Amino acid sequence: MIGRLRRWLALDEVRARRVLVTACAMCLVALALFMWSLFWPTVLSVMVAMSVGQAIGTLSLALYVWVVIADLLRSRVLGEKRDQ
Amino acid sequence: MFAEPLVLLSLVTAVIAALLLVHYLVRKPPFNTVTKLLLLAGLGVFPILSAGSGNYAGFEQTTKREFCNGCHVMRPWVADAEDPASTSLAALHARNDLFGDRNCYTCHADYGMFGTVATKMGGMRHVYYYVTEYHDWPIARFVDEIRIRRPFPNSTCTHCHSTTLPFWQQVPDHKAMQDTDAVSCASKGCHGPAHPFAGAAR
Repeated sequence: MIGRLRRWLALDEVRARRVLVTACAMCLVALALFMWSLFWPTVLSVMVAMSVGQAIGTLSLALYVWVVIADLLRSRVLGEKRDQ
Repeated sequence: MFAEPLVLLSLVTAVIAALLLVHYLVRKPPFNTVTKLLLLAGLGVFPILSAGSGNYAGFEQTTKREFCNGCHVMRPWVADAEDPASTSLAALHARNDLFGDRNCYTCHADYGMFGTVATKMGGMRHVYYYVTEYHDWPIARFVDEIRIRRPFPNSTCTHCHSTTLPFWQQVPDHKAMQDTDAVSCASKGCHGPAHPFAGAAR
């Protein structure tokens, strides 16, 4: 079970970078939605920022956490230790 | 708008987060400890601060009359509230500093522990009906047909107006509304209607 989870979370460096770039882009979109609702507070902008904006922002943070966990797995800080 | 601290906090934190993220996207530094911390700030700490303060500021905006006026069907009600010559209950209250530009919310909000949540859920119902049914209605039809969903609770009035003053208790009609909503303060012939074209609840 833990091994399967570890394999599922594993990312090589190239994919990790791609995931991080995606997370950064998504977070920028979320920030733009927050600013839209802040400066043009209409029904649509407030609802979109509080739902879609929140979801995108949360997902971008989750992607970052995934990359950090994958990095820790790669460097063996998490999971099985290398034989001494 | 910038004078509002929450708006300013949301803006500043969003700008800092955006700068950190753009820096990563442009420079693409190696994923070492410093980069991890900067990205934690750019993807976590600052956006959470921005979203938190921005959401609260957004919520505050939703309590303003200008926001209610965002749906075109509300324009007659807002126009009456803003009319300095109007003597409707809504207009009289809108000219009171305690209500001011939040007079719609102050009178139509539910009070109590979960009042804010209940009010916002009611607002979501408004948005749903506006999008699915009322969006294409002409204003004249809306004025004729739309009604408040449930009778206006007297507790909203007594939230500010005292019912213990001798002057208030001397009015015979007030006995009929004590501890019951059988007679509405805002009914026609008492102190209402609240709006010139307000009808009874469905």
